[in-house]
Amino acid sequence: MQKNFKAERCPWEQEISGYILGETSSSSIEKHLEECFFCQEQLIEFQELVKNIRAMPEENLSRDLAPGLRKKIASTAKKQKVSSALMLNKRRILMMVVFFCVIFYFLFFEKKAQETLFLGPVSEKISFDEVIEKSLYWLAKNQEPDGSWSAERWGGKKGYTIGVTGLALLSLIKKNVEHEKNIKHAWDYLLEQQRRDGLFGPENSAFLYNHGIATTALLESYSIYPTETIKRSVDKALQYISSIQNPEGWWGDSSNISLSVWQVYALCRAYILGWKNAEKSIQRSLLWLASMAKRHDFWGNVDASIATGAFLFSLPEKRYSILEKDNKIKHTLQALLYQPNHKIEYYHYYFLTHAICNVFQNKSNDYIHFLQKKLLEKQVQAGVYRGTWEPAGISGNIGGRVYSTAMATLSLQNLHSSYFFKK
Amino acid sequence: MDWECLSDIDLMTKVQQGHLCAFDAIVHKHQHSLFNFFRKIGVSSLEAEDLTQEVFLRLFSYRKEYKPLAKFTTFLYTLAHHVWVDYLRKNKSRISATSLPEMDTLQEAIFFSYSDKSDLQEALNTLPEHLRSIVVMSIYQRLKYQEIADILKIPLGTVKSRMFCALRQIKEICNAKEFQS
Repeated sequence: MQKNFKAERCPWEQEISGYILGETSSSSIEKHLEECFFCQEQLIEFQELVKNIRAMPEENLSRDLAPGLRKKIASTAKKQKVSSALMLNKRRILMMVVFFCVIFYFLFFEKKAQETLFLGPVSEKISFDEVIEKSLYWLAKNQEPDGSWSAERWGGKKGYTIGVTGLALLSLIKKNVEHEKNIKHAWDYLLEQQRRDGLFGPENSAFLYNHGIATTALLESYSIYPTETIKRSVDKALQYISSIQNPEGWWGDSSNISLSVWQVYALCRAYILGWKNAEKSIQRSLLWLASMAKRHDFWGNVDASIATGAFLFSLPEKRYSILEKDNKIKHTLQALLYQPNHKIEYYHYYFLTHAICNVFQNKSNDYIHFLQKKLLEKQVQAGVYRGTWEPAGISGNIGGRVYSTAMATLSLQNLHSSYFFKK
Repeated sequence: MDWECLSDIDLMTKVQQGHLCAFDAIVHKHQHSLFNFFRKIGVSSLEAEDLTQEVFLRLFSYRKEYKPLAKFTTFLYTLAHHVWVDYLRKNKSRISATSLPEMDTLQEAIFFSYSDKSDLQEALNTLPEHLRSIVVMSIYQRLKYQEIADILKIPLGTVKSRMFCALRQIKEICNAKEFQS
């Protein structure tokens, strides 16, 4: 029976019932009815059916419900009065219980959480120190005899060794006591690479990355080891940065924010550490960044631009610029963080962690936990590469394993310091 | 005051102000149709009275939440539908074993017993709950598709397709019954 029915189906069939009940406009369906035999038949059948349903006998109530309802309403009102008094007491007790639970939680559990920060999946809890130790151990072990970390040897491109060395130095500098020897060896290499005009290494396609990262790494070193040798090197490096800055505020290519980001970062760190003459360059670069944000609706859609732009925009040193706080940057960061099919790109992660920790200060730790989890999932747990992160994304292919390991370590260090800062 | 002459919205406004006589008037006006609504969707006579009473009790409880933005009947039948859904949940096991058929397919439904009641009412009872309520509201209670969509919180197109589906199924059940006899 059903099979036959399906064979005769007409696209208008659903309109028939509506037509009978006065729900469908009559002109169009009537026109169709003239032509369609199936719908004509259906109309007759349904009309009869509707007529019969409407003709079904009505039943009468055995009693008037109003008096009974009056009584029920009156008794419910009485009960409500009593129960509301009881509920008030219950609520008070509940509130007290909740209050004591909260106090108990803060007294015991939070204290424990501060002692050991657990990262990654709950099933395999690993302490933060363990994670960092493993990666720094690998980096220290694989430093070249000249003090560098080779980009090429670990899957990266030749011209980027200075930048990669700077990143490895940046990761090690926070654990300076354990890795002092490696740190000093890395300085020797970097200082040897500096030219008379202040530039680190040759003027190749990677020179802006190399120079900016090396300058930042030496500035961080200077904050811990304020030696005259490092100071002189940094002086020259900063002078070089200022000399090649475009009058509009950018470096190299105005469409590539990531080229400028390291120069601005180095200048900002320098300013904090006492190089006050960096202020004009910083102001110019941040003004350019603000104009970029305005022109491209917050740095367009390229992840790298957004992450690095957001990082620069969120720098605590931005008080030197005319930029004002804007809620839009928060939305931009949230969108970048929680985008579907999130790809691992350590370059973004490094800047994102910085930006998120700067922008969402004193807010929930959700973002921090999210990024921690993402980063920890990817650390190699066994074998020759134990403690490293696999090179991923475009930057991973350029910088290689040293780069990805250093960037992931730095991101975790950012998150960790921010976690304890909040606590 | 002759409460029975006032419109539903005016009566509800009076109920909100605390006039119980206005509430009585609403009960008198709608108890019959509500009772028949429950009867037609397959509830027994005794239980239909209880459910009707429950609808009015809820109406009184939610009187302050009523805003005359839509038709009063939409509000009333929304409550009635909630009461019915609650009733079905409470009596799920009992209903499936007795008054409503358990069969999944139409073929099985056709052979369901029609012994005591009219064929049409039995065919209606055989329909799945989501189709039955639409047929009763639309054909019997004469509510508009839009009102039904608002009451059941479903799109208008779904009301239309369910209505068609329900009529088709009733027709087939009745045809099968005729063929059997």
